[in-house]
Amino acid sequence: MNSSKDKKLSELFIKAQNGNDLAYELFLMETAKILKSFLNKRMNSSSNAEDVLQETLLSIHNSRHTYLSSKPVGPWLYAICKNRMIDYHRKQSRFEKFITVDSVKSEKFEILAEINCNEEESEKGIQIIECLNKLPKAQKKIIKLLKIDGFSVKEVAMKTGMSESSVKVTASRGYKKIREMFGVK
Amino acid sequence: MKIKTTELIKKISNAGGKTRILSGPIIRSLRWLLISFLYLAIGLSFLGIREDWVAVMQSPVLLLQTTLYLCLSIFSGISAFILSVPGQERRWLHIIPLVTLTLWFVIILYEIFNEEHLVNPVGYYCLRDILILAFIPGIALFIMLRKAAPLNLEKTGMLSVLSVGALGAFGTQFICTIDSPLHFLLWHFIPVLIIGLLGVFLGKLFLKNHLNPELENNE
Repeated sequence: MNSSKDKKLSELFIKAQNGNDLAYELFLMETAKILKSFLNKRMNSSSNAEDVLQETLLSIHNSRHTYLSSKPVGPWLYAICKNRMIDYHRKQSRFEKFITVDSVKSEKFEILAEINCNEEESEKGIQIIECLNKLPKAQKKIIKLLKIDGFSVKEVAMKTGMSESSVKVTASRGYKKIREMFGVK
Repeated sequence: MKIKTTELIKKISNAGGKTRILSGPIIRSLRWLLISFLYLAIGLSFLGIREDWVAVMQSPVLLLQTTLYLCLSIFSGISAFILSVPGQERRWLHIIPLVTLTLWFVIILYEIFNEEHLVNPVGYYCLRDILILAFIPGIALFIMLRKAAPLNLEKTGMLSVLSVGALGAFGTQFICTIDSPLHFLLWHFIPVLIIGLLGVFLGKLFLKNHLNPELENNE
């Protein structure tokens, strides 16, 4: 990011910190453009890059009180973005270590038992994932975001456009169904 | 079901509002040091300072060691505060505390090799005093760091806990009446090192969900 661009963004962000919503929206639009090209160069799919971009925008919002007007805005933005990208890769690799998707053959999740879990844990894992697959799409998505991707309720609400209470209710219904499938009241 | 980025931007910008900007890391470090030294003074008055501390501090080695505890505490604390602001990470942030820690270790080793009769009286009390003196500054530090946005939780946690551990050791230097280098190594240096390493886990545990409190109010 060149210095004139940085200065422009910095001015917009300072206005946003002072409560100017329009300046905040413009700042986020400009930032999204810059970070999108940054992420596209570093990530294997544009869909993943979009996910990280959204997470970055949420993190920028949550950290906006830490930006000091005396400093350039670029390093602040990129530090948050890089951190979100690393976090995303970490979550993905953790997820991939735990399960692999055999969508071509049987559309079932298969636990890689040889990694760190014993036979009993693997079986339970398979059962839970099979139950998860039987849930309605909305419940499955919310539980995956909360329990596998590790997002907070607030983040899931922001990502899905639902209210926090709806996220909690949807997840709770999903948990109840999974418990029922396991025969637990 | 997934929200579009443009919609997310609209949603975020509507939740904006006026933001209470956090002070710079140095200002916050100074505030934390003020709180910590006040607590240290109170703690020391309760635990009791050794009577001959003025005479002891005239020994160049002990004075150097005490200064190193203080430097380690201040430098690690400032580093943790700087790290809690995105984009502020610098290499010297890790190097200065590391150099101070190494210097402290070298001085103790030098003393051990030059001591004719090594004694190591049990020093549980020193460990207790370090923990007592580090406790409140530690809580204050974590609360203050959570208000910022630390990205590297492990590193920030380690530096902050190392800082409060060294502060506790600094205070204990005025209480502990055992001037044996082996005692310093086993009951002052190693506990601070272990406490610092525990900071990696404490950072992951307690610094994770940094959210702007104003955002919660707005929503």
